[in-house]
Amino acid sequence: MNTIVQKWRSGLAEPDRPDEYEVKCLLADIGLRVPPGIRLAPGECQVPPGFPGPFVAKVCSPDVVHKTDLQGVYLNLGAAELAAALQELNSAFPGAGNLVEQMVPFDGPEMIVGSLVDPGFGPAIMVGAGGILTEIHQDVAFRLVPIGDAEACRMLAELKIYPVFRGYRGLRLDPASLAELLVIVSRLVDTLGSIFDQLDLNPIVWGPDGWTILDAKLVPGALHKDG
Amino acid sequence: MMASPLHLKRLFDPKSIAVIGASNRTGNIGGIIFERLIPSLRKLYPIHPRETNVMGHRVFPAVEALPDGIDVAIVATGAEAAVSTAEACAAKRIPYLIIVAGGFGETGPEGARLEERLKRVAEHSRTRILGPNSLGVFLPAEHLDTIFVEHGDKALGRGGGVAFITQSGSVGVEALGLASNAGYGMRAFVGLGNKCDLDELDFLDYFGQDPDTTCLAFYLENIEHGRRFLDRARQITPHKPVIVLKAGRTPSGAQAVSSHTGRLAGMDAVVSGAFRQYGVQRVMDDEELCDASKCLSMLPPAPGPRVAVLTPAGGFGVMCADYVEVDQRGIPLTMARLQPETVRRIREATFPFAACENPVDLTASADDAMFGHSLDALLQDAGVDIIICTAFFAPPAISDGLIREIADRVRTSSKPVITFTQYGPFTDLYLRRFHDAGVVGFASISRAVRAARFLVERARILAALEG
Repeated sequence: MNTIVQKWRSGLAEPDRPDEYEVKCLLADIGLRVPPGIRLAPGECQVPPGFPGPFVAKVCSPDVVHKTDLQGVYLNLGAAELAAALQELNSAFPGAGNLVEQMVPFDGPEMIVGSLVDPGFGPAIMVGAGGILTEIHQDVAFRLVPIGDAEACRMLAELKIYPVFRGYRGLRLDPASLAELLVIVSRLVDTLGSIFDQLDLNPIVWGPDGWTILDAKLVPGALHKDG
Repeated sequence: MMASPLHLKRLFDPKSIAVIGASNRTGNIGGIIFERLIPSLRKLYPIHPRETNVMGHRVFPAVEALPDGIDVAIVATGAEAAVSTAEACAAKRIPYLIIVAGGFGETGPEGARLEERLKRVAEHSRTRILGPNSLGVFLPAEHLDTIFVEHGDKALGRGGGVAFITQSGSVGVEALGLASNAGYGMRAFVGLGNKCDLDELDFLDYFGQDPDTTCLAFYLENIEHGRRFLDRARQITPHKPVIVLKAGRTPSGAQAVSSHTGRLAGMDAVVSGAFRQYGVQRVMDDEELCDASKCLSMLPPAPGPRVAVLTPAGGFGVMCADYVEVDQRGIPLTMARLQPETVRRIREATFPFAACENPVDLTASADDAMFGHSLDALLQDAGVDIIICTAFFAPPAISDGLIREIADRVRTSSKPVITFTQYGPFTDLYLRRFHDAGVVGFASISRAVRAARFLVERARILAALEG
């Protein structure tokens, strides 16, 4: 894990200020699933042939933190719509790159996995009911990192939405592989230490290929904020 | 690394104690402490520049005049004088100081400077400091008591195994009051004060290894070395419960919360998660702290979540069932389904018309022996994990003998039995009688049911540690 993280950090365009595409590359490097995606340079409007839709297009820059609020995300686009969306993004965020991904079909509720550095206890990991309403539901469980498999399962069992892993209304979201994902993220958080103080993987969804992380954000630690 | 068990031994079992600032003047704090220490039968040395005799003991004019080998010095002077006294005690190689005075870091920059000096005394010598702004220690069984304020422990007959470690003096003293009123037995009380040197970690280690401690209870406003505290706690929780009231909830990750995770951590969800992970039982107020200490220090973990309720008063049985079925603390309980054999045995011992579904209502015609026989049947029912008894003394055939009926069975039971009692103005008296007989009792149904949850939580912690 250490080697992977070091290699990744040294390859960042801006030191310790990764954009979404770079965070997702790191997640893929440690064995987690993210949607197939391509990063386009500022101004670029073409995806290479052989990259089928439907597409998601979003602004991809460490400077745009709340991209949904700023109309920086377009969903469910055909090829023609994609070109138009990219033009919109390029004029709304001049100088910023864009990320084009394939839409991932999914079942059931969205989940969130995150981390932060608690001032008293150090790095902690969280799992909960995700999506844009996550702060209304407040259905989350925290642990200090790293965690093992049994602890990850206990975190899931603590959630109010736990029945979705147990056949509630026909849903069969797999808890074991989500627990595995939690264990891997906890190791990542442990390795990152205080270089980054917050991580959001939201939403994470259950689809035909397993759990996929649709959006990812890594917030630089206090060390890097003032500079 | 776990501290050696010898660490702090001389603080809690001193042969000789010096009280600095002890005079005969009424209301003198040093004098009050000195008087409190006389029943401890330790060798006592009052120190005062102008007195010659305090309560029949020869007074020493200064720390320098003391003989060698003093174990503990209690510094009951003002803040300014306490610092120079601490320096003198360190030079005299006194291993433990209890500094009672306030007027340090809690008052402002001037006090903070004095506290820095105290900190340096501890850093540059082998002397360890409890406080400043500490009530010191109280070990009821040893009659070792340095608490200068009134605390109502005198009503408490029976000792116990709770080590109660508190950052707040007043919360601590009131916990002693609750302990005394409703009964839970203390092994030791420690007032941490401002923690310039010794802190919760030292006492976690000490009482974790102390054979007379069955349960550790903390009131803390800040935890000095959070991760280390939890690491050590996890070594203790397989053997004894660790309960923490963490007051003063601070926003987690307060540094610019730009993530969902940061906002979801809210006030202190990280603390709750971390405690759960490390087997520490979290409580939110002083009553919960005392109730959890009481049941966890006296009762075995619950083998499961199935509760049987035994009552001579229908209303309390129904309420109890309601509380059981509501999910709280994330620890679900259920009402047990009694086996036919249990129902048969209870009917045989009581009345053919007794309501033997759970809750078991013996009605106001019940007597002490019927209660005892029914309790036997419930204890032997394999589908019952926890029993809550309503000890209601109003029915004519129920006497004080009921206390013995319950106590005799509780002593040998591997299942926890929790008692609820209310008896008008005599409620506290009866709770104490139960306590003296070794029975855990509470004055409300909701507290009795909550206690059951603490015991199920404890069992879960033990299971998680094994798994």
